[in-house]
Amino acid sequence: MTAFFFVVNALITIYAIAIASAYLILAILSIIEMRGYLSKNFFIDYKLVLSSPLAPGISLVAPAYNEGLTIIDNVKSLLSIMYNNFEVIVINDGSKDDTLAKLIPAFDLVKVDFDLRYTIQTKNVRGVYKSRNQAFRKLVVVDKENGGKADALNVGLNISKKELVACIDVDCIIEPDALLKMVKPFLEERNVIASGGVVRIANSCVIEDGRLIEVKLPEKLLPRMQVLEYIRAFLLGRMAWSKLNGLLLISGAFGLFKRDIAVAAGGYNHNTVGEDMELVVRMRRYMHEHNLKYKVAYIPDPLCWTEAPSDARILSRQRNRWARGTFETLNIHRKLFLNPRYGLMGMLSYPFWFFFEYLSPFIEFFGFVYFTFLLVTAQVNWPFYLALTLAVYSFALFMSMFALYAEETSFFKYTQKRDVLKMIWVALLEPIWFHPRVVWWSLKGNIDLMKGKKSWGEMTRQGFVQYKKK
Amino acid sequence: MNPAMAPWNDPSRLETVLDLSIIALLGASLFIFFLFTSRLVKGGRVRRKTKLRERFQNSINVIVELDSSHDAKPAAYQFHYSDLQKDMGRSNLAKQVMVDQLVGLKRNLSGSSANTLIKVYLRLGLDQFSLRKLNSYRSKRKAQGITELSQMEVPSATKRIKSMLRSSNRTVREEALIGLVRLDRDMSLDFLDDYTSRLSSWVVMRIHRQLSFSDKRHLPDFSRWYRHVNADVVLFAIEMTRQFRQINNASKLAELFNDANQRIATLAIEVCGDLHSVEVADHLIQLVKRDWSNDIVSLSLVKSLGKIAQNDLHWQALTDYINHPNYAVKFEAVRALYFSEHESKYLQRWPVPSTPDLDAILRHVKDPLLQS
Repeated sequence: MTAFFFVVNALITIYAIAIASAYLILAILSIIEMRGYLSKNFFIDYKLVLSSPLAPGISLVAPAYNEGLTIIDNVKSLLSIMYNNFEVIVINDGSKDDTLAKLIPAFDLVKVDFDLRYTIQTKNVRGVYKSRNQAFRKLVVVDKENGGKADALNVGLNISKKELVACIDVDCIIEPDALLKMVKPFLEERNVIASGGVVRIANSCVIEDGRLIEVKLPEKLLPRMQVLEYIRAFLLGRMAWSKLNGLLLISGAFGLFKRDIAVAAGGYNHNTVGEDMELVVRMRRYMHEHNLKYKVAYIPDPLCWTEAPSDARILSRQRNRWARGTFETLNIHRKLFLNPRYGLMGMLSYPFWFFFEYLSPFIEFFGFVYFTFLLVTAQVNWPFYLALTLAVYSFALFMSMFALYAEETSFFKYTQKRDVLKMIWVALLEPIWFHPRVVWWSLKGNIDLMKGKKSWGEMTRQGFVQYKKK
Repeated sequence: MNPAMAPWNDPSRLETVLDLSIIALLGASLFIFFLFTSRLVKGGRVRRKTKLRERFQNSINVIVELDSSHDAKPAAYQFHYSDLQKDMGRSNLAKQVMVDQLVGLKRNLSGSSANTLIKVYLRLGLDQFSLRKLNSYRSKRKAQGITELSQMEVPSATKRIKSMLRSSNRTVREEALIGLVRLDRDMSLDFLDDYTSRLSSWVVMRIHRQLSFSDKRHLPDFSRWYRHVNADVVLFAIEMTRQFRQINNASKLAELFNDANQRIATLAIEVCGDLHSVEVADHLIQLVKRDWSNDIVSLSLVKSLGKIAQNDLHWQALTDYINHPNYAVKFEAVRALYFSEHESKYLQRWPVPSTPDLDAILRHVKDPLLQS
């Protein structure tokens, strides 16, 4: 028993030191990379891309399921993105509402004789529509049988004729210059196969005609917690992985891919709810297995704004899905684990995700159970326990403040004076009020996975319409 | 207490944990302090910059107006220049604001107004301010200096900027390249002759834009670089041939059809098609059978042939492509034949059973809403 306690204590300590060190190293690398990015792009006039005949073509692929409420505004917003050579492909994934019925008259759509090649197998496509109105000549609408987001994105890959494909969520707000910025890594280096951008929370922001007019902190606490979480994850995590060329995840809300590589890798996987992460891992794996040099880039600019769940029930479904998606991807690609054939991805990225992203909710929960056991058996070393709790809390606070400082000195989106105070308060509260719930939802996701749950869960959205500027 | 807990009872460990907590809390507090002070400093800086810009703009407007009137007295100039000098003082921030303003204005002006801005820049000694940046160890400042000097057309900086083509920092190298293009009044692009570093698509785009502003008649003959050792320079030259429609280079481009570098070969093929260089069509025909199994080259060939096919031999080759295993190649062949005057001769008589997807492609090609 003595040995058991010793081993458990030692393992928990080692794990805690390892994860804290890893996050700290990533944070430092992220800051270095971000400074380099800001410095490099200080001179850039992105409108150069807009006016150049040499800019590559981009297909914006946006799956839509039961988006009748906001689809017209969303599509108009996508069509007004600043870029020359692009097309918007909206895929109606067997919606049960009036998504397609609304699109057809709004954009004067008619069915066309599109010769669709099922390069990637998908559910049946019922029709491809184009507009008779020249103003909407860049729009393609596809009507298909319901098959899920991955299936809809694969239809987009099949239909697309451009060199690059941007996979987005139709209800996200994309910054007008997002494509100009996202395409730059592909122009700078020939071997870039994918680039991702930062996703920010749009709750309480002022939106007008599908455009973000004014950035505001969410009014409710739950989305505000997610703002901090997103800033930490994107600015202090993904930038570092991009620097190391070990990024495994590009947000499904907004990612840009080389079409031929995505297709050669097999497109999106239907068998996982984490299809965004799984595609990036598979594309990377494809490049390794064909001995091709490549890079997955990352843009720290806030380019995409999404509505975060403001209801705990809906947020729990989202985190449940994320946990399941993470495991599914890690399981599908378990061959990468500590496999030197896959370079840094196999030796560092994958183990990191497995130990520190996937396992951490289990370890935290185990720690809680272990503490409860010690408490019940009156074996808690109270001074040490309190000191350790303080250390963990302080570290969490430190990382949150680091993230807020990084945001302040880079993109500075929350400009109201009171925003700083509000976010400091959120950072103080988060480890106590928000993080335990996230851990619980992740655990539950894994339990549901063991039960065989495959669905996305209903993600009820309020839509952005109620935040229009007066 | 369980003896296994003994190591964790050690006061030194407890102290260590507490020390780490204090360090983390101090760090968090520092960040909070920086957060607030950063806002204050930023706010103050923005306000100061705005004030300076307004003051500078007034004087610059008057100087440009005086210059355009041609009969202004020197004293009038002197007064406003003194004003600017006084406002700038010794402050580097003020000098930077002034430089940014002049560069920003010059981007949107041309002719005598642009020349006046250059005069202001030089008379205020801001070229020295920009030149000093070239000595900075910070690559961002170096690149900034290069941009300012090239935007304000300071020819004496050319040699210094040229030496930065070999910089280890990519941003500095790129800005140096673009800077040299801006400063190259003859548009000779001589610096490309011995350029051995990478030329990314991004840089090519920037150079193209810069060249677009100049008189096309004075652009160099890009075929000069078709045999450069640096493949990126060759690709740049071929692309610029296309963009600036140097149609006389078609025969020289044809010599690149057999280049060992596939990217060069395919680009040369595509550009000949885009330039409607019918004289190279026979060269292309010779490649059809040779490169049949290469999908990338076949696609370039079929697209080009579709634009420049002249005789039965050419049209027959296009018709052969209908049987190509690659769908994209097939598609382009059908499209080219459909839109040619030879559709009835070659397409309609094609035996359908051997190409079951020909109907689907034809319907697609015929649909007016799908013709981009």
